[in-house]
Amino acid sequence: MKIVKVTAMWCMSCLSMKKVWRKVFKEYTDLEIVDLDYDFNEEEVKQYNVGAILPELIIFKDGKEIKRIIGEKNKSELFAIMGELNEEN
Amino acid sequence: MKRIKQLILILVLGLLINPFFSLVKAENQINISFFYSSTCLHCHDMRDYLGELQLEYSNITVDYYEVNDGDNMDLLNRVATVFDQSAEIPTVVIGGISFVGYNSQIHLDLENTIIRYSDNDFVDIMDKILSQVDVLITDIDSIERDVIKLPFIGEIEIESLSLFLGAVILGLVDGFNPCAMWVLIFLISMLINMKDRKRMWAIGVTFLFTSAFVYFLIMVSWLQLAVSLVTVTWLRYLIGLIALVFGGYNVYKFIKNRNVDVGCEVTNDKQRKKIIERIKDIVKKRSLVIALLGVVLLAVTVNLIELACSAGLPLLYTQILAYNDLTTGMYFFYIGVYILLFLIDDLIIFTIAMVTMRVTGISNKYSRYSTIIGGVIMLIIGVLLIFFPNIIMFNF
Repeated sequence: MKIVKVTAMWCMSCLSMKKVWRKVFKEYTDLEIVDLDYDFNEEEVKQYNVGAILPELIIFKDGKEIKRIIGEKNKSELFAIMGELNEEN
Repeated sequence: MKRIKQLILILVLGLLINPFFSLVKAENQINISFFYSSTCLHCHDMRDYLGELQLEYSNITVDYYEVNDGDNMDLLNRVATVFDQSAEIPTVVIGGISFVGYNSQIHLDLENTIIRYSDNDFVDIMDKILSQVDVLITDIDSIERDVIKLPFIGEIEIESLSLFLGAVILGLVDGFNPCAMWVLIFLISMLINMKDRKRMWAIGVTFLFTSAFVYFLIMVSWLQLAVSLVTVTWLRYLIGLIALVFGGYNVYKFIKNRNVDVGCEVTNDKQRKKIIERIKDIVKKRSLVIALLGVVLLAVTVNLIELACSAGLPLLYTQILAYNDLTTGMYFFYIGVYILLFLIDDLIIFTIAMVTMRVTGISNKYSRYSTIIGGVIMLIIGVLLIFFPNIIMFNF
């Protein structure tokens, strides 16, 4: 799976989510994570049609978008989403 | 038979009315001395108010002293010396108390003093001054205010405690408003990349101090305006209405967004980019002095721009302060407390970043709570301003 993580340097929610992401994503060995900054990687961000709430995680499987996770999520919520995605695919 | 019925009726009515008569105690006669000038606006307001009081309380008389006539100015100077105050107009002396100036608080204090003196003994200092009898320090009275006793602190006036708690709560709620916070976060993130702690401290502290100073100046100027217009009733209604609109909007925003994902809202791309470029420019500057000047300008601009986002609570707090007759020092003290609490989350984030060299984020769900708490507070203050202004003045 590939996760495109769109965050911003000024965004409190993105900062507060860092710890949760670290804890959850280390449990998955086959993840490819791409970090994009809303202001510094403007052109790439535009390609993904990102909405008005940050952070936004766009998840791809075999090159196909399968899920978007918008805003703050706690550890158990994120584990549940990732578990569901693994089961489905 | 008819006459007997009439007699019984008179007797019964007499018996019913009699207890009321026996309860009514003869009220003390109160003499009020009023120093004024025919050209002073507040003196006109005070004169009208004293006229209203005379209609309401039959036991008061008012002696008028136009300070430009005869020896009245000398008399006012003697009054000022006795009460250790400046000889200003309007001045009103009742018993052992002297009131200088005119505002809503004096309104209430004057009436409360009349009520108190009507049933209690008091020393008429004006009578002593006119009779050239020495005024003793014990003759001077003071306004009675409600006092409560707190552990460790001791006795404290309800008014002071309420204003202090108001500053703490409103400042804290206002501080969680994310409008200007993003600039500090971005600035800290850029500074951390520099890995120069001294420079980081200097630029960060300058930003926070300037933000606090700008907010202080804004609140002081609002307060000044509010104090000068405190007796204008329609303005109280207008501000009450503004509070209801702002408060209602916050509550609406909370309800509308309650199911929307918690996160950072991306708004006003153009303005954000401009500010980001300015921060990048400041951080790149080789000369610390120029960088500091840049950050001062940045803090001023950001706080002025973002003021529209969080004007409600500071505006209402200054209005509450204006309704309470305080010294300039005390006004500054309460505004200082408000600003300290307003900046407390910024200070915590900045200090942690400086010590750990890592930027910590506070979840945006707290700013969502601050929206609803702030909204409800504004609604309550709005209702109080319009319907129960005495509560705002802490005169229960």
